[in-house]
Formats: sequence, C-alpha cells, structure tokens
Amino acid sequence: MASSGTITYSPVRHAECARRVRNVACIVLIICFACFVPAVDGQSFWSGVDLSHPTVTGSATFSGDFYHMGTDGGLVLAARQPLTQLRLFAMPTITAGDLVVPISIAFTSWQTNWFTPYAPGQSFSQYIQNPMNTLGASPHIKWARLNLGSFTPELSELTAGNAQIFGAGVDLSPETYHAMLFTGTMQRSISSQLSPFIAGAYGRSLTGMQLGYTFSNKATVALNLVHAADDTTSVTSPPYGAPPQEAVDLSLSGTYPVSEHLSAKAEVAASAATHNMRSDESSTVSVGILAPFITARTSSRSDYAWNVAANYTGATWGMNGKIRYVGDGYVPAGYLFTQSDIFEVAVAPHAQLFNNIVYAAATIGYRTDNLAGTKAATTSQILASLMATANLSADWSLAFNATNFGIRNDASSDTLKIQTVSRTVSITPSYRFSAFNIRHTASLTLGLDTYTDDNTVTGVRASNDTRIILLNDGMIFGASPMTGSVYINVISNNLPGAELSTTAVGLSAAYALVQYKLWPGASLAYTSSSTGPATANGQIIVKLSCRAELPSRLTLNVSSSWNLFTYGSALPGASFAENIVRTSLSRSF
Amino acid sequence: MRAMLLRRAFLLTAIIVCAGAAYGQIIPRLFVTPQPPAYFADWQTQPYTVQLTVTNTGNTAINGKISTTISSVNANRIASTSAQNMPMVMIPAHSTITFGTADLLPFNAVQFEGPAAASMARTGKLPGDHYTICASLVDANAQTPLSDPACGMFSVTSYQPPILLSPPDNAQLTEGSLRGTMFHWTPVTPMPSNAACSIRFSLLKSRPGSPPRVPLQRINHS
Repeated sequence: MASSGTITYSPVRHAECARRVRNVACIVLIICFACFVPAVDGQSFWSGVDLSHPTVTGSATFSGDFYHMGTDGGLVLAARQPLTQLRLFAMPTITAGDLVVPISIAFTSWQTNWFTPYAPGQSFSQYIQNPMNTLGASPHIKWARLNLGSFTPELSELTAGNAQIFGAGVDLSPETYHAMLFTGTMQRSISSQLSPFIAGAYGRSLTGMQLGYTFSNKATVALNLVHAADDTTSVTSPPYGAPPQEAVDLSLSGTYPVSEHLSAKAEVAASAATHNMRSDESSTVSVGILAPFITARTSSRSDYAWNVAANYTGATWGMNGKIRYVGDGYVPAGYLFTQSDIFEVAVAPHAQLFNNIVYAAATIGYRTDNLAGTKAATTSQILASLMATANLSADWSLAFNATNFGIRNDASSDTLKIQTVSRTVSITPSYRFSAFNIRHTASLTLGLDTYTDDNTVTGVRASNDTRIILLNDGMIFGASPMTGSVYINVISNNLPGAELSTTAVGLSAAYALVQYKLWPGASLAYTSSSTGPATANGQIIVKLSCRAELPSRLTLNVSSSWNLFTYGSALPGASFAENIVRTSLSRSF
Repeated sequence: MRAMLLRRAFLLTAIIVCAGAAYGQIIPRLFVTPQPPAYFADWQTQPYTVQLTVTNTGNTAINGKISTTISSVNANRIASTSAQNMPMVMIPAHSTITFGTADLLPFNAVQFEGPAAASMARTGKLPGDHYTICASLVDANAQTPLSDPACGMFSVTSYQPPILLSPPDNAQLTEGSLRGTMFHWTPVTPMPSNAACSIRFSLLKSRPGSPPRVPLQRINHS
C-alpha cells in the first residue's frame, strides 16, 4: 500500500488510463464521423432538417417483486429468487421533426447476472455495463443513426448479432450505400477473489464495422469486420480458469432477390482467434488475411465458416432451405452461445391444402460435427418434424404433431457410443360449443414421447416413454364480462427403476368491473406427483390478481401467489411455502 | 594417401567410441501429465505438463539437442521437433538436469504431421486420442542418439457437449403447449471422470416478437 503523500507508478493504472483515453477517443471519433460524413453529402442533409415540435411518447413501468419463503420439517432449501427486486423499464421516444430519439432504460435494484460473474460491491461502471441493465439512446435523422449507451450491433449471422455492448456507434445509409461503425464494452471487468470466491472476468471490448451497397434490383452486399479482445489490464487480479482471449472475423455477406417469390442469401467468413493473449508471439502461426487485425501468437488459430439460404413463398406453399458450415476453430466474435464445429443442411416446406382447410409444415435436416477431426468420434444427427392443423368445420379443428430426432456417432467403444432417438407424436382435437349460455372451447391432447438410448451404459437408465393426456376448456360466460378455464393434465413417465406420474387440475376466472377498467382474477391449481412406490408430493398454488386502469393513462397490476409444496414419503413431514407479491405501475405517454 | 585413410578411420572410431560412451552415460526420465490441456499452446505456459530429467553419469560433459516425438495410439507420428530449431543443451558430468515443456516442445520447433497439422492450424487443439511422447538426447550434428528414448503416455479428451434433441433449436413454445413438453439432450460424452459437469435449466418467458436473448438479459439470477 502506498504511504500518504507518496506517488507511485502503477503499470496497471497507467494501462487502465490509456485504455480509457483510447475508448473516449474512439467514441469522440464516432460522434465526429456521424456529424461530419453527412456534411460530405452536400449541404442538403442539415439544411432541410426540421427539428420543430418536440414531443415525447412511450411508456414507463416501475415494478416491485417481494418474495418470502418458509420451510418446515427440517427441510433446508435456499430462496429461489431475491427477497426484493425493484425494476424500472422506460422506453420514451423523443420526436422533433426529422429527429427521432428512441431511449431504452432498464434498471434493477438487485444485481442480476447471467452472462457475467457476480461483481461484489459493484461500481456504477460495472452496474451500467451489466447486460441486464440498459441505458441507451439511438437518435436518428434521415439516413443517419447514432447509437449511444447500451445497444446490440447486428451485422451478419457469422460475425455479430446478439451481444449487447455499452459504447457508441454510427449507422449511415445514404442512398445505396451503408456504413456502420461501433465500439463498446461487451463484457464488464471483474477482478477475481478467493473469499468469497469470485471467478472474475476480463473486460472485453467489441469493435466492428460494416460497409455495404444495395444494387438497383435490391440485391445487397456487405463487408463485415468484427474484433473482440479482452483487456488484460482491466482487472487487478486475473480471472480463474479463463485466459485473456481475442478474436477477429471478416466476412462477405449478401442477399439476392431472384424473383418476387424467391430470395437467397449467403455469407462466407474467416476467423482468427487467440486462445491465450499471454502466449508468445509466433512467426510460424498463420492467421491468413486477418494478420493486419490480430497478433499471431502460439495459441492463435484460424478457421472459416459459410452459409447459404434460400426462401420461396408462393400463394399456397413455400419452402426455405439452408446449409451452414461453421469450422471447429471459428469464433464469432459478436455472438453469445453459438455452436461451432457444425455442418447442417435443413429444408422446411409448408403448404396450405384443400382450400386452406389444412396447413402443414415440415422440417427435414441433417447435422454433423468433428469438422477438424479434433473429436474421437463424429456425431451425426437427423431431424424430422411434421406439424399439421385442419379446420374441419366451424366448430371442429384438429392439430397433429410428430417429430423424430435421431443422433449417433461412429465410436466403436460401447461406453463412448451415442445412439439415441427421440420421437414425439401428439394429436389435439378441439371443439367449440355453447351450453348453459357459456361458450366453450374444449381441447384434448393425447401425446406419446419415446426416448431410446442404445448406449450400453447410459441406455439402461435413460431410455423412457412419456404418455400425456391434457384436457382444457376455456369459457366465456355469455354476456357477462367473465372468463374462465379449467384443465386436467395426466402425465406418466416410465423412467427405468421408477415410474414418474403427475396429475394436475386447475381452474381460473377473471371478471371485468367498472366498464372493463378493473379486472380481478383468481386461480387455483393442485398437482400430485409421485416417483415409484413413494407416496405422492402435493402442491397447491393459489393466485389472486387485479389489473386496474387508472386515470392519467396509469395501469396498476397487483398479484399475490402462494405455493405450498408438501413432500410425500420421500421426505416425510417436510414442506415449504412461497409467497410472491408482484406490483407494477405503468404509464403510457 | 594411406596416412589420410588411417587418420579418417581413427577419427571415425573415436566418434563411435565417444558416442557409445555418451550413450551409456546418459539416463533420461520422462514425466507426463496423464491428461494435459487440449490446447497445445497451453503446454508452453505450464512447464510441468512434460518434464525430462537427464542424468550424466560420465566424467565428461555431453552436448547435444533434445529430440521429441508424439505418436498416436496406432503408432502414427503426429508431431516431432525440428533439430535445427532446437537449442543446444549441455549436461555437465555427474549431474542431473531437468527440462520443462517449453524446452522439450518449443512451439516454433514442433512440426505437426498428417491430420493433426490441419487440426492444430484450425483449432489449436490436439485431436482427442491416446498418445505416446518420447524424448531423447541426440548429437547436434550427426543426429545420432546419445541416449535411449524415454517415453510416457497421455490422453487428450475432447468432450462432446450435450446436444438438444427436442424440442428443436429455435422452436416456438407457447404457454399452452408447455404442458407435457419433454426436453431431451444427449449426455456429455465421454462421461467426465470428476463428475464436475452440471446442467442448469432455465425456462424463461419471451414477449411475442422479442428476440430470445431479451428474457435472458432480464432474468433474476444472482
């Protein structure tokens, strides 16, 4: 620790300062770019812009969830959600002539994490960079859009599309050209610690650009470049288990409208990724055409991906098909949870038959992996599904669903062998009728789900069949503003060693008061579930709710639900009870 | 002419004798982590992945280079070190020297062969398999062995992650259709030996027209 009055040089702080200066400079550059480039187009961009009559429209919701849990009979069970969770959602849009500024705000009081580790004592910077919280604005005038704060850059299917960042970007579409540039933090930095254990994460930046052109026949072509890199100086103690990583993607994507009914699109991409940025630089590792954008290290590799898709939409039938190849070493820098090492072919026809009485849709596909030979066995998968609905008369309809998903690998060893088939067949007739001045819509679903695992080891305890009977009736009570429903579900699952059976019954009702401005409702459900010879567990769920439309375009929602779960002979005497009160106040403006 | 032939014969005999002497006085021992990282670059940063101890029992120091080869279980060589890129090492008399992974397999000196070369270039990973690694000390110039090879075995496990069987990926499930819907995945293959694999299943509600990632971003999970 530095003593008072002593100035010490810290490489980490110095690098952190440099990183912030770099980010600020990049954001300033984007803003200047957004202001300057339209001017290049001539005087027309700003001279004709109307900024009069500012208005604000949109909605805002403030909600609070309050949770309580109690256990009995010596049961130890952790609470399943935060005791108090306050949320603020607001989506106002400021409009002033040609200027439109959509704003997105989502804040939560309790730290929520899904993509990133828990940050103890998080700073405001960490709070705002958590993808669960958003604060963003996307002002646009004519063909120029500026993205500030939280936003999700969507470039192409193989480069960037679902990773939210906190930063800045500009999106310009003058006439037939299109240019996009963005930079921001994709993953907030969290220093690791041992007690309490925090895995930590490097701060990860995402920067990208797109240059595109639209031809006279509406065909498009775009060049996409995306770069993601961990900042090794963003943490004071390195994360456990995950080395700092870097990836860059370069792709060429395009769409082509063959005719009014037929369109096609394709993309080819190259990727270079460094598994560990601390590994030595290497002159023997080649990252190909991506060398200008990434430093080749001993842990770097490069791979490629491509896809082709076509879609035909006719008057009574259509079909779409796609072929996708993603190499084992391909890293889509701007995507979360994507699967690499996959080659996939899928065709999905759909048709309306017999004067639109029957609608049918099917999917047939094939997948395989181990494209780089890194796995001991290659897995292949066949997917087939058929869904059909038929409106037999004004009151009768029928739905049919069948799927078959099979997967196998070429492993010769019994223990490594995968050979499973999952089949589902269900049929649902529905009938609409009136009785005692109540309009009913009743449906019965009969389903059979079989799962077969031919592996010598896992198949013994994994293969099972599930039989499903669902009966549902939705009711409208004549002229009175009351609706209701009742259902019965019976599900039995013959798991090896123990039969799992579940029976559930439930009913619900809602009634409109004060000229449909007050909607009180109630529901009651009872579920009995048992496994093998053990006596059944019992669960009762009661829910009361009320929705009220108040003056000044305010809407109040209040609900309270109680869940009482009592264990059977598996845990005799044990039970737990939960109560969740949800409130929200919304206003549209 | 005869004197020259005699000198060459003497020199050759001396080399053979010296090499034979060195061959006998060098005792290598190889230690290999049974399950090293699949990413070969990680071997460079983990010096204990492969270790070679060389003991010189003789009275003279031995100079040479380390030669390392990796072969698959069916005896196909997949990687070897290039002698010209390996550094010279010296084993002093009556001493033992330990060499780490970066000494045995310097990244820039390792040449991959066959399918492993393509796999390494595209993924940076060794294919999942059982391997034998052997290291020996060789003469820097003549490439003749100065020691027996010391060998060890290791395995690289490439796990097959769970694959969703049903419902299909990107299938739209309505609230009503959820009752009775069965979710099936394939198991992790091969079964992890340390049972450290756990699957977290979350069912989240998505608003109509909203991308699937949005409810993931709103989930309450601490």
